[in-house]
Amino acid sequence: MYIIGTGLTKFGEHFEKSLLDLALEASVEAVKESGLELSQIDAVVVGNMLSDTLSSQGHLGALLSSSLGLNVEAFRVEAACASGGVAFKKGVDMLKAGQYQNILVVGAEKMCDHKSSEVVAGLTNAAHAEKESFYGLTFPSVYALMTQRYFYQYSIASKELAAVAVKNHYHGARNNKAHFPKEITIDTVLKSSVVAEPLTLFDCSPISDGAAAVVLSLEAKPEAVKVLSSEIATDSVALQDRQKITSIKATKIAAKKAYKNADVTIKDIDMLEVHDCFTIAEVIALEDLGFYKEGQAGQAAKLGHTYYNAKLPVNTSGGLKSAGHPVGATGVKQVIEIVHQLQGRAEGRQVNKAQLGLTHNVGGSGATAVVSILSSNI
Amino acid sequence: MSIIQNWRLYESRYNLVGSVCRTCGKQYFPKSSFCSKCGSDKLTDETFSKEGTVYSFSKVNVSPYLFQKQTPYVVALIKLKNGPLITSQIVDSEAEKIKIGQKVKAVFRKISDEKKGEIISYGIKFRLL
Ligand SMILES: [Zn+2]
Repeated sequence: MYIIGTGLTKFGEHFEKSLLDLALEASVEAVKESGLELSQIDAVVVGNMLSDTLSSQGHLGALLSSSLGLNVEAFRVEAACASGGVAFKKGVDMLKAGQYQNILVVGAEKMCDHKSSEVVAGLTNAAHAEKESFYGLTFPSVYALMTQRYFYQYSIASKELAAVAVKNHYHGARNNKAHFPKEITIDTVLKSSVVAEPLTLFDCSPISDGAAAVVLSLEAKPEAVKVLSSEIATDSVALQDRQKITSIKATKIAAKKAYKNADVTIKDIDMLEVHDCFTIAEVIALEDLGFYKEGQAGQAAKLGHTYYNAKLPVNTSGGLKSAGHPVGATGVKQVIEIVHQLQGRAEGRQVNKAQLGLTHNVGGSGATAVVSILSSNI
Repeated sequence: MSIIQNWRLYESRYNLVGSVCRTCGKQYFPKSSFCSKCGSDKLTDETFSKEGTVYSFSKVNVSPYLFQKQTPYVVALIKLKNGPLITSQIVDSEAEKIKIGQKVKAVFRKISDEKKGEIISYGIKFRLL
């Protein structure tokens, strides 16, 4: 199956727009780009985490499809910060099943309308309520526990993590859809306030509004991008129940399946969009996806290896860190970044001769992982 | 967390009571009715040791509403002696002195402030030995 249309709002603070406004904006743009009529959309899948907690709105599938003037099958998918990636994978599955021809997948999140304490509490729902949140664990502190253990086991420190944020902001500064499109320095990260030791504010992705949409189709058109594979794996929600907290087993399992089903090896992959909700998450992702051995990806950004014009471009969109993290939209935005790169539309951050790209979207601290592989060879 | 949710967990929370799988020996905290390792449903209660070591930790400066009065505070993963890895806080200790591998001991504490109309949650935190 193929991605034949993309739509993406700017990520950031959209006080003048509702969750539905954002979802509609991305949807209409994606359908327009696909060249299809709205009436040719057979189903709508919406990825969103927080609408009932924050906006008192459930039932997003019908809300969006009816607002587009459709009466088709529509539903919402929730898997914490992986909601968008899981929605994409569900769209792919539905096409594979053969019942439908064209599916609209939309990821959307509205966070900036609400007090940050409410958003923090909502995001913490991704952790284990009885085992983690009950004791005062916040979302950043869950990743901080992983970071502290990683520092203990391997020879990197805050400076190496800061280099990940610097690199992603360098990319984000070249993306006009990014929430914080400006370059920063190592000092910006190290001197910003500490959220949960050892993670500072600039180790964390921001709270953003935004929506992203793609039209998936059984039929290719010129400039379409082929979905070679899309795979999900899961693991324990609470860190305490994992075999290790310095790697994410769900990523490893999803990646293995994705490589196998796409019939590719990591050597074939030209670029990655990985889930950098916190800087440590990008480091761990590069290891779990197989690009570095465990404990060895910490130097990648510092040495310049993961810039858009280097040997392994990672998060050319700016990642969650600089492009922003409207949770439900993120997984779909990652797909769109790869699509635009493969189509040569990435402007100031265009990867040279990219043909194969990978997206990696994570829910919570690693309980859900989605890995998809996209190709420009249709 | 509702009164009934709290009540269901009080043995685990007050006394570190968890479960052990009678088939494969895997330990669970809090209590569990099913073994995810071997698929057995033959689990029995077990009171775990009140001592353990620090597996990982983090000082939290930005906290949820119910924890704001105790902020900053230290969250931690604790490996209980002969027991499982559990999640809690380290209290009564200078945050700068906490290191991975240090020995800790359980203490009984108020966990967080109460939400209006709900009960106060108590449970186990840890302090450095
Ligand atoms: Zn068992």
